[in-house]
Amino acid sequence: MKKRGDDAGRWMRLRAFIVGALLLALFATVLGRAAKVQLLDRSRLSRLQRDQTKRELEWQPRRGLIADRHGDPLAITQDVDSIFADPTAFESAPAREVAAELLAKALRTDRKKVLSKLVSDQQKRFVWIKRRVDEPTALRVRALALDGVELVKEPKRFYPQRELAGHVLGFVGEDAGQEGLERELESYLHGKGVSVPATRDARGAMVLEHGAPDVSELTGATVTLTLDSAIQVVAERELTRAVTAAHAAAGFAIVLDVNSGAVLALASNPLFDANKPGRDPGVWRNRAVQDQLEPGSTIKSFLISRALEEDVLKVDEQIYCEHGAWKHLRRTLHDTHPVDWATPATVLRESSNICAAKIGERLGKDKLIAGLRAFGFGEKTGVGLPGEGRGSLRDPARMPEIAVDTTAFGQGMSATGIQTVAAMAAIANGGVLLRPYLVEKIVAPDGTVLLSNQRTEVRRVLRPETARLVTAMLEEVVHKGGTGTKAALSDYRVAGKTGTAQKVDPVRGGYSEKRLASFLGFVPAEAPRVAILVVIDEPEGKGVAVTGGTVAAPAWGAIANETLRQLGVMPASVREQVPLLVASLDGARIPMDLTHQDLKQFSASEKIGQGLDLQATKLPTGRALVPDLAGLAARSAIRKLAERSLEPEFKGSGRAVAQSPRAGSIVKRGARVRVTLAPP
Amino acid sequence: MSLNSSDSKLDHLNWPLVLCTFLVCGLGVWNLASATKNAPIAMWFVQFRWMMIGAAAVAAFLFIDYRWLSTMAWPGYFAALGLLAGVAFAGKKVLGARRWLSVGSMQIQPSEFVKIAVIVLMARYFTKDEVGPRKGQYDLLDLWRPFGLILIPVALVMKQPDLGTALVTFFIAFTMIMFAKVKIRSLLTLLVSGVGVSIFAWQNLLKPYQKDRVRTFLNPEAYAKGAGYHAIQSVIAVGSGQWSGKGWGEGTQNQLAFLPEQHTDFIFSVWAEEHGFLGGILLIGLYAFLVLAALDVAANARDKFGSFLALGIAALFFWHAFINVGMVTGVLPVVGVPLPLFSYGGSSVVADLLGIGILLNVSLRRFMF
Repeated sequence: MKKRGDDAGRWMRLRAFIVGALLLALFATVLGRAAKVQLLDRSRLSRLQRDQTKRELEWQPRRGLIADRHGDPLAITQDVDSIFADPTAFESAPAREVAAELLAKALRTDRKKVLSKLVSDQQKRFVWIKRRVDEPTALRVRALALDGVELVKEPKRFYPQRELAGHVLGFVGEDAGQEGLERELESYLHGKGVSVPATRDARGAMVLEHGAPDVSELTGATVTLTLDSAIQVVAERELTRAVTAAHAAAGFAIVLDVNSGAVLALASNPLFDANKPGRDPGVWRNRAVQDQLEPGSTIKSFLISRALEEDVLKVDEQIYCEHGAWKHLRRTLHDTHPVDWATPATVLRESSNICAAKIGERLGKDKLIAGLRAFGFGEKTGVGLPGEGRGSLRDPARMPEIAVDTTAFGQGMSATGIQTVAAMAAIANGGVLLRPYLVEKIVAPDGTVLLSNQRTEVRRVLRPETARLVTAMLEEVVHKGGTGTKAALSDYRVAGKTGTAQKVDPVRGGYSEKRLASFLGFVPAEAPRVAILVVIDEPEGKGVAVTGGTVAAPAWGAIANETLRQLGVMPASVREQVPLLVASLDGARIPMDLTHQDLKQFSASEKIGQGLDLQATKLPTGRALVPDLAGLAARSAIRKLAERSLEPEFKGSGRAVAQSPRAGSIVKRGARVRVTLAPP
Repeated sequence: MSLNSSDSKLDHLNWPLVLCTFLVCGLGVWNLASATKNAPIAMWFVQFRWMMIGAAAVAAFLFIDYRWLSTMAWPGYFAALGLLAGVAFAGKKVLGARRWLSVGSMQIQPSEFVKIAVIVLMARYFTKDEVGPRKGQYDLLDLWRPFGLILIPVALVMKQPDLGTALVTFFIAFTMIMFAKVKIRSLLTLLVSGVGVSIFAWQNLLKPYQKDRVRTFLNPEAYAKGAGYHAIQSVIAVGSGQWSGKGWGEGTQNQLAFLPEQHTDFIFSVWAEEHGFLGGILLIGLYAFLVLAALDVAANARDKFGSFLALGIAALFFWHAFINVGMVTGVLPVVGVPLPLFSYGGSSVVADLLGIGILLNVSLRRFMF
């Protein structure tokens, strides 16, 4: 029996054939479907596929460092934790509520606020809960270990010296500088965000194709200021003291290097801590640069300078000051200290408005205004801060006669503090108006110098002889019987001028009882180094008690004394004893921040050049030498590292006991140096 | 190639079928290696080992006449039921389903072997005239017995729950019943009542997740992040393969874990993503060839029992391949059905190879007495 019955066999073959055809048809439908998906829909599906895997990961830019002239950091960037959540990660509404409850507790905020963020956008897989939190908060949140809540490092701006130079620095908003240098230098400081192609897997994990970008690629330039932290500290301290003592509304102080135009200190009061900017723009205002105020009697220094320069006034000439009251042009001018006959020196010393008016008239409208313009009034100095005021001067063509008189004693015109101090610096340095500047240099992370400021002459205002003559007169102001005796220093010769202006009442017009007390001057008179202006706004009290001489001069003196000490300027008496040392040090180009004490040490050391700077050894560009941090506190270590464009990373607290890489290693600029701190 | 005589067994072996099987197995292991590239263990090797074990079993089985299976039909059937009962009571629960039975350190999935047992039993049922049709052709009354026999294991598998395997088992048996002489009117009645049963099942028997699968099949975009996620990701994978695919190991949907179960139920997505439409044609072609070869064996078998066996195996391969590919390309709802010899899984590989063994055995003995 080789085969079954033919009938059955044929039946089976027929069925097999039919079924086979049927199944093939079904296979064909599947194949057709595959063709539709893979050939017709391929671009749409490929795009969907790319969309869900390809991502650009944004690396946030890191703001550059702002440091004072010694490299002391004033504004730094550190990584802190930000908290975000994936609202889709919570399985149920109760789970979300529990998470919100726990988070709110850890963040010390309202539960509803957190919950609304978790609920708000349930399609989104990412929502910020709170950005840039402090370390304890981050620890608390991390300890919760909630699913769907995560922390990520974001750079945050810190101002380690808190209020110090707060008005100069300004602050940073969510993305960009809002005030001060942070705003002015935004393009330099901002740094560069880098987006890196990444692949995202189904669990949301990111894979970087080319690794993370280097920190130095992201970091903005390092800005070195002309400010000297030590002098700034004194200026702010003395200013605060004076403002508080006089129950004044505000005040400001400026210390300017008369030979270069570098601003050594720029202080405003009330103080402002950029770590907590708040919402009151009045507090942010840099009064020394933005406020345009009537300068008052301090203007007389410039008036007399120009009168001497223009030869309408002689040094030994006697002018009649009308004994304190002068009816002139249907008005009566008054002096606080009645004077009869006075030399120009006496006019300054006694601050006679009447004689100033007479000298003003001798100059005439054109020469008066042109002279003040020459000193820089009526134009921005370009010190490099946002919102700088221009000040205002009368137009000589449309100026009434009386305005000549008032302008001569500093009314009916306005000026900023920085203008005024720069003008005084011109007298101090022998007659050259210099552009004041605040930024010494800006250096990119790779070492390229992007900007470097130096002494810039604007114009010659006075002949050196005139400047010397006026200096001598200004010295008399602080001598016995002058208006500014309280600014006198025991060790240094001071040249200066008081100013007591009545403030214009903005509502009623005309002058109010409110005053603006100021002292403007420079030291040492025989070889000027710094010009200083102290202005106290609206000190309390009336009449004689509240003048520049009583309110501003003492603070001026204290600031001047400490500034000279910081600059290593020896008192006149000491200098005469060691002429040789000074001469040799001049040759060695000692940085000007050395104190008296340091100078002595230097003279003892023979290796002057070596002691100055380790970096002097030639390094390839973009490289930095790791400094020895042993024994340093975190702040000093930051400063040392910042000088070399290195990033600190601290562990522990106390003083440095270990570091990696070792001191003396040569590394890439912007590299991280791990420093282990331990209590001493 | 024959070394001795013209009736050498090797000469009568169905070589095209053997070759096709080897090809599918080889591609399967290769593809699995890509799908499980990131797995902690070399799963492709585990699969390969199971294939070797299966091949050895097939080789051994070829020495026994397939008619011996007829005597083993009832014991095999009851053994299968026993295993399913064992799963129900002592099975290992994975991802909410109780499908596995631990035997020593191994996990076996009895439902895979149940299919073979059902095929053998149906083959025997329709060949032995124990309970034949009363009037030459089967009508509905005659069919209650075979349906009853099928529904017991199907219900048990459904209970695990494993809708895919239950459906496939039912479809296989149903295909075999078609081959018995059934009245056309009865077939139509069955179809109508099938719809009725489906509605009843939807309302009373299906688990919520199974209903979700059907719903998302009808409207996957509405469930993009939920139950439809798998379906959409699978279609994206297949579609982004385009003409010729992204290359072995380059499928992003696969490697970045967007594909669910990419080594088992969605193994075809990996294949289609990495080898494109051309690769898809090749693989579907191979399965079509397997099915046609099986039908050829059925048509030329020595006896009715052999024909029914071969037919059952053809149905086994067809329904698995059809439902699986249909599911991952989005024409059918997502039901967990493995792709024969491609999806990872020892029980399924061994069961599929046993099926091939049965085909070879039937094919081998059509000339012998």
